[in-house]
Amino acid sequence: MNCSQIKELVFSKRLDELTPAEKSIIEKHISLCQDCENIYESFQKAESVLGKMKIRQPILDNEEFLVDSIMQKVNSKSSDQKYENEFYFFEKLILFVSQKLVRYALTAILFIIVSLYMFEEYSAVKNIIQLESQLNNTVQVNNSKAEIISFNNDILKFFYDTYKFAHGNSSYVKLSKDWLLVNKEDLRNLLLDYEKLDQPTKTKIKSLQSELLNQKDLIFSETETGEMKTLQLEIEKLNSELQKFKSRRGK
Amino acid sequence: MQNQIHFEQLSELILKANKGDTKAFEVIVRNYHKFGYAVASKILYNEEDAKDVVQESFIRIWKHLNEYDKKIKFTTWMYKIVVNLCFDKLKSQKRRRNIFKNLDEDSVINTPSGIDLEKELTNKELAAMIKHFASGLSEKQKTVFILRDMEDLSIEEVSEIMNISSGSVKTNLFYARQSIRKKIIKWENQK
Repeated sequence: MNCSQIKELVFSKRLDELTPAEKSIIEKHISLCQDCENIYESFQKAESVLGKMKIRQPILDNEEFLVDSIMQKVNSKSSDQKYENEFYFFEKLILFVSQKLVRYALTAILFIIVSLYMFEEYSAVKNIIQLESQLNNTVQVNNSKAEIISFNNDILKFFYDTYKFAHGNSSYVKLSKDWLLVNKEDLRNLLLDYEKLDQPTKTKIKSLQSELLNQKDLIFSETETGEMKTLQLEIEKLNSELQKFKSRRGK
Repeated sequence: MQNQIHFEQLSELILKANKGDTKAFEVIVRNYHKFGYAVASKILYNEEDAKDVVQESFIRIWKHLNEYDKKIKFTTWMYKIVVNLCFDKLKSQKRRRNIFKNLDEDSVINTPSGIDLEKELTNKELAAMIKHFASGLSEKQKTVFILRDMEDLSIEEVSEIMNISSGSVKTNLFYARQSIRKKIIKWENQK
């Protein structure tokens, strides 16, 4: 190796990086070359300076303050990140929903749910209409029966009612519970009205009442017919179902 | 500067910190902030700037801990972040220096005199020596020298940190060593 190669080798490597072969070449060369010996000595001095610089690490003052300020920022970032993660979740959800296939699938599901709901609603409404119509027809029939009972005579009907109310005839109750209840108030009023009547009218009414009592068997036989009982049961059944449907619809 | 926690402990701490455990992360900060500070202060020659970089580095580490590749050493990854932030800082300082050219006293390189290496060096003295010896070198050459010859990292680690090939590390190191040694010899002779 010539001087320039030795110089290059010495300046480009660290002392601990020199291989034994390189060290041997350098040592052989410097034993014969004074210039290179001086350079090698300088190199060793430089290595010593660098070695001293290397072991002297910068002193960090206020170390605790630095750690605290790092952790303070980390903690605040941590809460931000939590928010970011939540935001990221919604962002991902929106991205997922915005996909074409997912969008179609969700629309289809929504359509099915709405259709089922509408169908159920429609059936319920249809049933209610049917029931209401049936009930109306039934009531009409019932009213017509009632009219038969009252013989199309208002005064007679009045006496008939007062009589039944006063005696609490069980057959009458059987005839139509609802009808009785509905008319209970009317009956009371009628009784009050009766009390207000003048004596001649009351006498007239009493005579009519006895006439009515004579026909009692006829009236009761009519009320006890199977047709009336069936009708009453049907009214009750329809009423209860109507209530069920109405309450369901209300929910 | 010795690493106080073992590899297994560090892996566990990273795992916990990754799940948001700030206490585990604090242990990492306490064990590694000095490493970051040593490199940053040697590159930047300024204590406050070095502290800023260390702080920013750990915040980045916290934010990107899930991206940490266990195949490389944690310190290598940390140094990479520190060095990149140092370069960013130097770039912004250079821009500032261009604007306030005559006002920046840092641009004046003084030969460190009266420094006794047998005694304890202050941060300023150490920074002045590195600054003087590394003057004329590129940031890349200087950083390669600091990482390899002052922090004792391997060529492969320096290559990973600097994101350059091993060959490029060796070339930069060759020029840096030659230049620095010549300056040290000159400095020694002037004493």
